[in-house]
Amino acid sequence: MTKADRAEDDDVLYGGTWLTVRAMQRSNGQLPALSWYRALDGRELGAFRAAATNVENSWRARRPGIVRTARIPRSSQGLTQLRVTLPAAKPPHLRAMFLRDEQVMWLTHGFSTQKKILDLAEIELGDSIAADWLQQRSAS
Amino acid sequence: MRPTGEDVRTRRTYEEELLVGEVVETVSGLLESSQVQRKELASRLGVSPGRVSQMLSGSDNLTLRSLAAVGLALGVRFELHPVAIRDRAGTPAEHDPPAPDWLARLKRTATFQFRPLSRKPAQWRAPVRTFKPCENHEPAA
Repeated sequence: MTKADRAEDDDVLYGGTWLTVRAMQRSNGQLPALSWYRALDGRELGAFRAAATNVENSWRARRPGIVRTARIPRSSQGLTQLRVTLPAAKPPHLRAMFLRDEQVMWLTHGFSTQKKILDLAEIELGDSIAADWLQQRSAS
Repeated sequence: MRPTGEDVRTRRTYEEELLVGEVVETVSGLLESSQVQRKELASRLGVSPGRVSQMLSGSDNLTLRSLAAVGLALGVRFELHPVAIRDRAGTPAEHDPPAPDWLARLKRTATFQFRPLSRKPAQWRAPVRTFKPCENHEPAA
């Protein structure tokens, strides 16, 4: 188990029967996804858990055509976005970015946006968190 | 401890979003697996392509009737399998008796087997019925 993989209870944001969602930790100790998660209100938290369960069911059953997730072509780290609120829901849209490692979804960070198209700044932030995290993993 | 309003909102949103999400994901998956375009689904349903997009994006609550029609159009049946929530803390049903046993038996729901009505097997013949006079009665005059 690498340093970044170290099981800290605090970095688990969702524990399903098959899928776990965890927050990536930066080298400075920050967990941006965890900070975002802790700031969610009751409805947003319910939506986040529902989105994670939908993805869990899709991945486990190999159900194609997943709507809750979408590859981010502009991401240099190969990030995928998680649509916490469904695409056609009224704004603000809740989104998060992640890398998948088998049955673990590693979140870089989450955010709220009024637009359906992802901001380049959010993609760059996600890429920087993922790059930092991947570097820690490969170093240890 | 009595659940707070926040807990109830979280649980309720979870159930709503999960169900809507499962429908959207399953229909989307069926379209991809069966290589049916949205336009074709709209044609099968007799609605506009815009209406299909609404249905599949989760923007609009799909009625149960519409869902049954979508299922039929794609060759599947959406069955209702209520599952008892194990952890009821934080739900309005927290102090209710346990979920009834018959819920589990609904996992195997009865279905009616439709068969073509117009076609008869090649060797089919109308059954010939023979009647015997009943011995206990006097023959008709």
